Amino acid sequence: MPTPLIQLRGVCKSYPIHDRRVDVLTGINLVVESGTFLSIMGPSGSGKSTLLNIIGTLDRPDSGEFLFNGKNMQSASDTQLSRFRSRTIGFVFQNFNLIPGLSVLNNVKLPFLYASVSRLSAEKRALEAIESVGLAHRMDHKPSELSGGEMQRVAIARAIAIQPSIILADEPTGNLDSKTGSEILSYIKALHDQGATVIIITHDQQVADYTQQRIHLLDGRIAERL
Amino acid sequence: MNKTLSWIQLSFNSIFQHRLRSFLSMLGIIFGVMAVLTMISISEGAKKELLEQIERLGTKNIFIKAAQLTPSQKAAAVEKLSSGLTMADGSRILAGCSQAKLIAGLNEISAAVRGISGNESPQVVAVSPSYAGLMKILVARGRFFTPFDQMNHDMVCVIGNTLATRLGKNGNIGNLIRIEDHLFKIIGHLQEVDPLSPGKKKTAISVRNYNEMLMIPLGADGSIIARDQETQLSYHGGITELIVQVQDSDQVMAAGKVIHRIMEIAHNHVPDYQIVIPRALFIQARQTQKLFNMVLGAIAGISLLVGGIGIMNIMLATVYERTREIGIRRAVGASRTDIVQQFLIESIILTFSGGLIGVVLGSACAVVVSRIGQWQTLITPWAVLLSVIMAVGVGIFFGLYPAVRASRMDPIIALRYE
Ligand SMILES: Nc1ncnc2c1ncn2[C@@H]1O[C@H](COP(=O)(O)OP(=O)(O)OP(=O)(O)O)[C@@H](O)[C@H]1O
Ligand SMILES: [Mg+2]
Repeated sequence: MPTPLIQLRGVCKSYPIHDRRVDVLTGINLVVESGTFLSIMGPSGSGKSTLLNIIGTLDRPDSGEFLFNGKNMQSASDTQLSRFRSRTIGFVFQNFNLIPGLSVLNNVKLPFLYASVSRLSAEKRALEAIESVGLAHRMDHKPSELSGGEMQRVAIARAIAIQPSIILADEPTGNLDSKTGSEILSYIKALHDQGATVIIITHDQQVADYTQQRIHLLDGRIAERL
Repeated sequence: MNKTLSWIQLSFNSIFQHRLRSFLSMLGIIFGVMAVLTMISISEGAKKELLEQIERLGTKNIFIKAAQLTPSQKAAAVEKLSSGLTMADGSRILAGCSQAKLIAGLNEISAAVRGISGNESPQVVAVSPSYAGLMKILVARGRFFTPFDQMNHDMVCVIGNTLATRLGKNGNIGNLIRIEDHLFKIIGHLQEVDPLSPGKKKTAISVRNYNEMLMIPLGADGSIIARDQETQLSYHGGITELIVQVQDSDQVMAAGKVIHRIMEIAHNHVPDYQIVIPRALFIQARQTQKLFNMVLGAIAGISLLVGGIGIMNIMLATVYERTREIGIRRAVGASRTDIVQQFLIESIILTFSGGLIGVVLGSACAVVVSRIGQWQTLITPWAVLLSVIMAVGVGIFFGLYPAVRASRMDPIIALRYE
């Protein structure tokens, strides 16, 4: 059996709030094979975002292990994790998270800055990514001049431009109406079809139904696996 | 390299987005650098001026000047048999001071030179033949005096370059020129010298402008002065200035002490002379310079501290405002070091630009000061370099804390920041 892409073993995470610790994740065990489309569901505050951030190496677990391609990420330095993020992970957030001062093109080019890709090829790949989400005509606009759906498409372009192997989407349609939302989802599905591993947090049962692998978080535990 | 370039570009973007704010935060640095550069240029100018003067006066020379006496002092001088400054003092010094190698005398004469267009009469001085050598005066045409001229009390003269031009054909070598009732034959023209900007600050001895001078051999002056009814009584081979040259400029201070004692005895403690050592003036000036430098350093320190605090303030505000951006950058792969570098570059660009503006304003200020204040100012490359380096240093020092703070932010909290 080949080593799975992502492995979580007994991952725990707690946050200190008013001099006591609040447990957010209490022993998560999860295996995600390469090329999987995984959805995470669960009530608000159940720790979905926390889990996704640990997988995306923005956060570290308090205890337990996070392995990527069989390699333990626990001992990696900040620089190593950053390098890893820049090459392997594409984030899509609920609130888009574009840099307001930068144009669409520069927002999409942002990850290349940290991935040591030559300027020329960065420009080319960013343009391709923007075209693939159908925003070539908005290249020089600032995010504030775009609609919510367009902003999320820019965020998707930014996530895929560097061709990462994992896409992490935290309620990508949460701030959008259903029509725009399904449009965004079709882009994400297309990424999965192209071979990317996609993990998506969603409240939408229809989205979850579409995915191959589903987990349901409840009080920091995986309550249900499908 | 690619990264650094992009960051410089990004920083410029962010600085231009907040033009006014960035400019205001730079003001401290701008004025600090401006003040420092102006003051260094004044200080350097003064040093250069003094050095030029001292160089012209000769670092190996010691000047003994006849002092003006009050009537009561004059009476005392007669009582104590002091006859004022004469060439005899020179002989005593040559005999008594082993370091003294050469002497020259100079006597300023108030005598009218006839036949010159223009209203200003040239200054007439009687000098020893060795004067030219001691003061590094060069002859353009003809020759300077020889000991024979002096011995024979020859009625010859050497004139400055500007004076020669003013005289026109009459100033040609071989022609005669009338001083009071005597005719002197012109035997040489002096080479033109830079008259040195007439500094406001008078040193104890000022550099003479040879271009406008008429020189006759010492001794020949007697005949002019003897006819002058008013000064007839006081003429006894006196001179107004005696110049002693020592072998080496290092010996000048020691020789000065010996000469002081010789003169004291010879003049029976009558203070009818004054000893001036150009090199001592320089040493004295260096002491003043040290004090000036300390004041300068303090001002530089304070203004840069104030400027730095301004920069730190604005950088902290920038970091705070861009919390979300920091989170985004971290999510797409920026490491802590990347974030530190980004904000550090931004603060360096701020202080560097401020430094450059300060250099421009400071240079302009130095020019204005030299025009209005008549002080010589000098902008040296090292002063400009130092100012810019200081500005960049301030950018690094005061930008580091905000930059590190930015890098220490939890990316998740930063991403959620509204
Ligand atoms: N940095 C933090 N400091 C303190 N508490 C935190 C922090 N991050 C998350 N929490 C807490 O952890 C819990 C889980 O948060 P998380 O964002 O993972 O929930 P979620 O499942 O994504 O919820 P939602 O569906 O509303 O996004 C919440 O109670 C939250 O208050
Ligand atoms: Mg969440």
